[in-house]
Amino acid sequence: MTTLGPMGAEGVAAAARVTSVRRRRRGSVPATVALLVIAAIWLFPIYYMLIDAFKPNNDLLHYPPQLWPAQWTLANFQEAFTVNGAGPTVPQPSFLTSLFVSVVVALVVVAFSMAVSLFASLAVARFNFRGRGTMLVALLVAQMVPFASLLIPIFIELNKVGLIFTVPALIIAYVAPVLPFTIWTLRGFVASVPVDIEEAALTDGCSRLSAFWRVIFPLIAPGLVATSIFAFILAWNDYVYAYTILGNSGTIFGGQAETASVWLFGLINPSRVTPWGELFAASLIFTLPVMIFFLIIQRRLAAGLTAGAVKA
Amino acid sequence: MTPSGGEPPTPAGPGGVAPATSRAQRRLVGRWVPYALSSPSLLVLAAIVGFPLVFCLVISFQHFQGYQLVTGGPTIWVGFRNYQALFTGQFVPVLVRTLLFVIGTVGMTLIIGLGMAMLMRRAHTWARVVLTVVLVTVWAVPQITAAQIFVWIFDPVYGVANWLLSALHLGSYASLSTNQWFNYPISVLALAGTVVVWGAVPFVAITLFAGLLQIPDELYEAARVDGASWVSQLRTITVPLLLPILLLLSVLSIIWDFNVYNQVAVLQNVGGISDQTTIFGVWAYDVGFVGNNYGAGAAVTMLGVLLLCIVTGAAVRMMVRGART
Repeated sequence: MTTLGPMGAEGVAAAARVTSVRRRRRGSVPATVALLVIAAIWLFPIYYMLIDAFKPNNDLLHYPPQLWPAQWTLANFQEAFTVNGAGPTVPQPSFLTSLFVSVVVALVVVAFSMAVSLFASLAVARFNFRGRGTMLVALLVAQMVPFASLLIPIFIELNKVGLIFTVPALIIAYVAPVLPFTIWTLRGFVASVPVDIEEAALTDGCSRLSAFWRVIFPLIAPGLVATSIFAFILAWNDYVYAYTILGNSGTIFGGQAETASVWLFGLINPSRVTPWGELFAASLIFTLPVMIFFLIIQRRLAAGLTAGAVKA
Repeated sequence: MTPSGGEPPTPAGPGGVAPATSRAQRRLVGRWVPYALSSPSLLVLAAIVGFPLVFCLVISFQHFQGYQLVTGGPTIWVGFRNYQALFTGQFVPVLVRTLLFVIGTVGMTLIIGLGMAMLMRRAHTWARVVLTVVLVTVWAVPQITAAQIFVWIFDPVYGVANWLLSALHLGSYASLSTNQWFNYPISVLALAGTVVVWGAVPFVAITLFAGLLQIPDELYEAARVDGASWVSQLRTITVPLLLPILLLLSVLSIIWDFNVYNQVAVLQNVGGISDQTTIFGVWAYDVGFVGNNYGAGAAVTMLGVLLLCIVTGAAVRMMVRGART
């Protein structure tokens, strides 16, 4: 669950400036060694998941554990996609379907929350209107509301309107924790674009709207990327909402629907031997896209994230 | 502490300064524009954050169970009876467990995060990049997957943890493999805490590192010239200047760790013990959904929100004051 605190973009430039000054200093060797040891410890669980996804079953259930696979296999991946998931008796939706549900849910949450919060952030960053202060405080307070505590009332509400156990219901539920954060963060990015630039565009004959599209929008694009990642991750990683609101009794394209995290959770079932190879292969497929994406935008991610927190 | 060189970063309010309505703005757009821009999000927030919160408070005073949900039957006002039942029931043990869990996880997360950030500042650039890549990778791992990896690492028979412990002669494999980690409340919660800390450190470390970058090197150099020890540098420079960020991170971490559900749920599912490992986030779910008693579950939730308000109240007030300006 990652709703984040009050943030903005003001600190990025300052941080970048200081970094360039700092570069001149040489690093210390003991600190470097300590850092590498810590990095190795922190990475180990991921490394272990990665290699175990490629171990044949016999090597997985083997003592002592192999820290480097004796044999490599792709059978686990094949099984993850072909064998039906959890439950010894109840037929479960396939991993592919659940992956598809996760993707759809996360993308719609991102699209919806970005559109809505972009407008709101423009309002609070660019206009001085009655109720602006109240709205900012309300957003800050809304961010402090623990997402988990909304589960019971949201569940009952969705049940009342007849949406419970559907994909749209889950999407609506995820927007709740995302929106306060995205509005707040985007506000910081919009505020960091000088009004002068916009006015210059207006003087040059741009309409208000085209000034926005041509001037503000490109400048706040990094902010849009950073905030949409958080919206995406929240929807992608969540389990308890997905399990309660969608469960595995929803439907998509006539088949049963559940999200990938619910599917994965079900793989560990005390009433049978856990198919670890299959589990890690599926986990890897579930995790890898986000990991790669995170690594590509790593620099921007840290900046977008830490921007306002640093100055809070 | 009087820094002898450079200016300490001045913490600005997160809300920033209210924008002055410019002339161009007044000329080109109507007064209704900001309202039109913000109304969609306000409506959505009211519907899915505001209303549910109020609704939660309301049903916490009602007898509201599964059958009423199905039949749409009337709910009955019961005053404080839900709360009374909680106080005579699990409240105290769950509260103690949750407090210990939160203190442990938040404390470890902040200490490790700060330690990493300080090392990152001192290490070679390439090592810093390595750690950043690792942290970002860890960050991308979903909580369910993280918990499942740890379940496998602590597997009694085939797990790496038991193998390592016996290889280091910290225990005999024979006894380690029969005494399962998932059979004791303390080790289950400690493991859940480990998974939580593992996943929470990246955000904290990266944020604190960005904060450290804003502290001028000259401060540390001056302190070193004055013969200040590592500890007194930490006490007089690092912590005071990072205080606003540390405060924010503490509040966020407390809120997140207080409501931990996923990691504990995975471990409970493996070990089959639940009563003695239930913490607040799990309790609300169990009472509400497993017990089919939404009124009582809502009461647990409201107690949790109240507790969080008390614990984080002062810090949140400071941030809100910043936002108002």
